[in-house]
Amino acid sequence: MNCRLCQEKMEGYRGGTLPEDIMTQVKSHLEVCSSCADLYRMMVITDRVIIGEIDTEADPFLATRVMAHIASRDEKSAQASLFSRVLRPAVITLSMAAALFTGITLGSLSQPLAGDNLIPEELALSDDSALESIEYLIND
Amino acid sequence: MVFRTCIGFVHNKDDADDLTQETFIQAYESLSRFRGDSSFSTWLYRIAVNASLNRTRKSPLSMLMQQIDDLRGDSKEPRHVSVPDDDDPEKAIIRQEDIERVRKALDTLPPNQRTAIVLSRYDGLSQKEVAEIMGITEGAVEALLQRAKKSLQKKLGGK
Repeated sequence: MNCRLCQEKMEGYRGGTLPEDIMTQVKSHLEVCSSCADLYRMMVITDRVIIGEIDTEADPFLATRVMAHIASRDEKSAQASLFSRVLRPAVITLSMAAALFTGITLGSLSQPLAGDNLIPEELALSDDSALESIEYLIND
Repeated sequence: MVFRTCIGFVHNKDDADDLTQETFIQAYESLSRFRGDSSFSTWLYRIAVNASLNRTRKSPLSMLMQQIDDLRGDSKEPRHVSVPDDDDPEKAIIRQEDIERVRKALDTLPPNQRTAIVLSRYDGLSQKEVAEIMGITEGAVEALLQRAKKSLQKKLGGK
């Protein structure tokens, strides 16, 4: 038996599912071929690793942890939905009202300057207020 | 069943616990999207596999950090689950190295081969069930398992 054939039959050999004569051939090859023997050993170790991991028990409080996590998330989302249903529209309305009030207040703060009525001499002619009233012209 | 799937990907009890928790929370949150096209367990397995693959897929940043840690020699030793050892300490040391080799070989398999191996070996699912979870044909699952075995043999020193 060569290495290639031995490696093909290795799984069956490990499971004991091969015919007796093939089992004997694989066994004799493993006794003389170190690389195939090493591979077979690794195959056994792979099985052990998998079995060891399968046998590992999960945290006994895992279900409690999951339920607690879900409950806290539900609580948070309930709070968030209260905010989105009631508080958010209220906050938006109040913000708009505050913006309007601020605008009106700022607008009413601006007063005409004290010297606004004074018109420079050079502009006096173009100042409509300096012209005579049309009523006087009509009366004339 | 979810825990077994997760531990098959991460080989670490704490990470498997976290992943199991993540899987159930994700399932709870997306329960409304479960249409019943497949069985509930198939749907749950899919969530577990996706969560595990996402966890094992390392970001470039974490790989860089790992390399830096390795260079500094202060890389954290992962807490693996124990494997039954012989009483002989010399044999046990050799086996620990071999165990790490096996885990590394399993971890470096392509994601689809790894998924097929985990579902079939760790969860003991039939090829039909694995095919349903992975959304491929039974023939494709068989081919994946064969390739995975060949690949493992090669990585572990076979021809």
